[in-house]
Amino acid sequence: MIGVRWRKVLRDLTHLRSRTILVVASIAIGVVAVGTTTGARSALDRSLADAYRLAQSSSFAVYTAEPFDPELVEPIRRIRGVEVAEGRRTVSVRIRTGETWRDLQLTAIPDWEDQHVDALLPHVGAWPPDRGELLLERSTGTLADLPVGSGARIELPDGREEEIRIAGLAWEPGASPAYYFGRLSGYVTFETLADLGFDERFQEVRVRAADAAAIGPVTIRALADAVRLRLERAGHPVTFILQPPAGSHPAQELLDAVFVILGGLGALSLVVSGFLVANTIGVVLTQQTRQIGVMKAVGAARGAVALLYLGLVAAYALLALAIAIPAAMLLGFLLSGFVASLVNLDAPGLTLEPAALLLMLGVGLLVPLAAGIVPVVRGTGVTVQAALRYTGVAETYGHGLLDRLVAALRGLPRPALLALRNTFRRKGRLLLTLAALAFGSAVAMTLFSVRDGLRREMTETFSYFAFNVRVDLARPVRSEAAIAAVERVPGVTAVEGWQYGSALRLRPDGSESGTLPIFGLPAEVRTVRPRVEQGRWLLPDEGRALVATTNLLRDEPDLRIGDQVRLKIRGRTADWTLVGLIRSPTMEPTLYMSDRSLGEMTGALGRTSMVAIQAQLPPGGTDADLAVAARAALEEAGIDVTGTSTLGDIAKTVGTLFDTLILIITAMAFLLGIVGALGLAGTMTMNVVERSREIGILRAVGAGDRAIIQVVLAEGLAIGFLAWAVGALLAIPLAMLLAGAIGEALLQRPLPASPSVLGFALWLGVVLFLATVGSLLPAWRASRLPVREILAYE
Amino acid sequence: MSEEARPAIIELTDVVKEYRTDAGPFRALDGVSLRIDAGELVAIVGRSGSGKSTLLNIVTAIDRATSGSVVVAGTELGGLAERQTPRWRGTTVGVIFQFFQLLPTLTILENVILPMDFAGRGSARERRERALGLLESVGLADQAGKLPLSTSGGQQQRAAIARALANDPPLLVADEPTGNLDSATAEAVFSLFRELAASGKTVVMVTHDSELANRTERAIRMVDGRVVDDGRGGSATA
Repeated sequence: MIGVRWRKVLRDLTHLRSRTILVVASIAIGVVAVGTTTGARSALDRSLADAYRLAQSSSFAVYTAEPFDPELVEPIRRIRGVEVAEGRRTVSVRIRTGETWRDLQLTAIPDWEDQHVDALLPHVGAWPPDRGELLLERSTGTLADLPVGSGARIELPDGREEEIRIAGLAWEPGASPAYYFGRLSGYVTFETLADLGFDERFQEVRVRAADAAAIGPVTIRALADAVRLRLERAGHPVTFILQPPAGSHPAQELLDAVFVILGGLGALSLVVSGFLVANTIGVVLTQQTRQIGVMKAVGAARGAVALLYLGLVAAYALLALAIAIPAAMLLGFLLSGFVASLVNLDAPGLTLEPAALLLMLGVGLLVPLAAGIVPVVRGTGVTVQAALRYTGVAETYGHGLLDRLVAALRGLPRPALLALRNTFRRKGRLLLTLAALAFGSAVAMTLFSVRDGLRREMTETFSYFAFNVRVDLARPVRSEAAIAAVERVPGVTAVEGWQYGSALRLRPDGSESGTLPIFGLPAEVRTVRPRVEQGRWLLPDEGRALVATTNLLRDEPDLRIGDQVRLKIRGRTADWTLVGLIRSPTMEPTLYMSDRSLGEMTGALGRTSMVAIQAQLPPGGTDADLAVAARAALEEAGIDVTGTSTLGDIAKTVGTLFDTLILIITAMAFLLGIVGALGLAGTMTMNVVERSREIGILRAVGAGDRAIIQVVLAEGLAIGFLAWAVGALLAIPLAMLLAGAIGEALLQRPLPASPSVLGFALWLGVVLFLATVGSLLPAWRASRLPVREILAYE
Repeated sequence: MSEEARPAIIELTDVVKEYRTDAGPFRALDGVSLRIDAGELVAIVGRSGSGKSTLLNIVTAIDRATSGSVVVAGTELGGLAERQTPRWRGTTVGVIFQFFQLLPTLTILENVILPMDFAGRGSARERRERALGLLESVGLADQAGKLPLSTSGGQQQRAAIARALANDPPLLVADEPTGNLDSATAEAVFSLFRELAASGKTVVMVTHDSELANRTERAIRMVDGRVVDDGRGGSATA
């Protein structure tokens, strides 16, 4: 049987339900925020690790200009340091989806049952596909509607069309999802590839280095060079080496950015929740002042009373945990499922992550107790005499500078004056309420600013792309021929032939950089608008001048404008002067030089393998129409096209990433709004309860319902406005911090984060609305209190 | 019983209590010396601000004297550390308030058990039995399971008296115990005090009600922080 004093704790919990709900909700919200983010992160980390393990990712892939015999893979396998090497062939075709054609990367797998690198796994339907059948990567469903079991038409580079059956879906756990690059991926057998008219041999070799995670990118690069040499010695020039970052899944970077946001928000929500709890416990103690006095008068020592109230706090915490743990589990499941679907991972199941559980238990018990300890110690320290004399009418008002300043205000209506003075009466309470609300507001406004920053970043990134359509050619052709063919397409305003290649930087210390994509652009380029951040852009007829994207400095931090940069391109080495750094339009560090310079190095002077087209679209016309017309014009001129990409495709790639973050951020801002509303509603309710006696006095001296409501409402609005103002000041440095962290995680540079005027204004509206809603019920209740009862209440 | 035969339960010698206020120091008790013996039923009367309640707070160790000696039930209160006072009070003094001050979320019975709980007195069963017995003695056994707010003012005050008796203290102190009750209920409460005094308890009550004061064995009259009549035919103020 529990002691009477503990029965009081239980009764307090059940009798004062609205207060219990408020405190429990305050604690639960913080715990849910932390538990959801930690749980989702923990589950996603596991999914990511599973996917990475299943993926058996390659350390690099080497692509040749022409196909090579499968027998050539064997000597590559014997190169020292190579753990696994497998040949494949990937070709670009188009597939019809509804009324439009989409680019499809078709990869032929030599042995479906025995894959050791860049593994493909069965997902739905046939495995392996039969001759004449195709498996689509499962994430293609986000881009195109191609049902399993149906037939589809594909268009080959020479313009022929063939029918192929979609026999199922496969999962390539190490690959980026389809929308990431805006193109579809499919898998066939080499027999099917041959039936479609392609050479049946390999054109790429995927290699995993022994102990890849430990040996570092430079050693892997050296191994890739050894493989390249082996292929080139066998007469197969290498066009490109793809070396992804070792040791992590391609989705890691996006997930890191998501986790930076989620982790930060989880922690901030917890802080807000801590303030709310401290405030509410403080109010609970204030309300119980007389009871504390009575207990002390009948023999309770301060420690015994403090223990009772800490027990009450612990009971609140346990109740909150009982709600928060399943809620966080469910929300974590939904969040991790959503994020997993974005990055083509298997959705983690509905599990209770041990890390999240431990954190929730720790945080859920410790934060309320820590937040409650000061009010409990202070509240129980009250003398019996003071406690019994306590009437709920503040006795210390009017002494401080702030009180005198507020008291000096003149000309306002009496209820407004009273409300304003009430606001500053309990400064400790005001401070805690403000801390919770202002912090919540600061976070919400920070999120709006970061959201704006992301949007602005996206717009600025897109401003780089001044073309409507980019066409990849099957092989380099004379630039004039390609340009002339496309210029005939109606509406085209500019056509440029770009050179494309890859380079290695030979550093002064003798080491080599990773493979760097390099674009050779015509003098006075019109189809891109590079944004120069340092130095300048390329000048016509400049010779060996080089421009790089700023994110190159992450890998090559020693580079300065004016430096001589030694590059190896197609086996030839030459020095270039770095004349400028431009903002990176993609996450990949890229080099730019004149088409003539690159052409001289690659031996493709005057030839182009990529055509960028800028056009004035006719009314109702789309980039996709332009792509079709350009392709037709080129093919009519005898130029084979492997693929086209429209600005819309690129926008989709970049946009999806940003939209995901923006969606998560907006959802979090919404959640914080709820926390804020809860906090203010709670404070206002407590204020009204505590001032019942005063309200009684007001009514006794003739205040009508309307006047009472006005006083309470005005106080709520004053607190709301103050919280917004303090929050706005806090939001500016917070936005810079968060934008910096997200930018570094996602773009390797800080995001711009100037205050979002619209966001701040919107949040002011939200706060005032919440303040109104939060105060209206307490105000109405106050107006209902019968005078006799209030004044009789002791 | 003669005065000499009864031991003193309260002995105040030259007690001063000063408060600091915005308007300067305020002397609530001004050199009070007083002796109250065991088993007395004493009323302290005086106007508002005369120092009655301050005197009561000093005697119950709710407040401390600025100077002078306060000995209650053999304990010099000035020598009692702050943390020792609740337990001392719990076992030595039963306090009864004008506004009853029952905890609203505990039943009448539980309110009576609470001081025993804090004092660690007896087993749970013994506490319950004693509380029920006390409620029986104040005529509230049938209300034991009710919450205070669902009982009348008189019932609440009787419950408060039962609570004050929970740890069987030798001294009961009541601040305006009938101030909030109708005359019939006030009479019943006063009768209870008389019975308690007859059974050996000392009952000291502050009251505005001069008629009630006149019916006690002894009425101590206070004016401006001084005892002007100690009820034994003299002023006890130094």
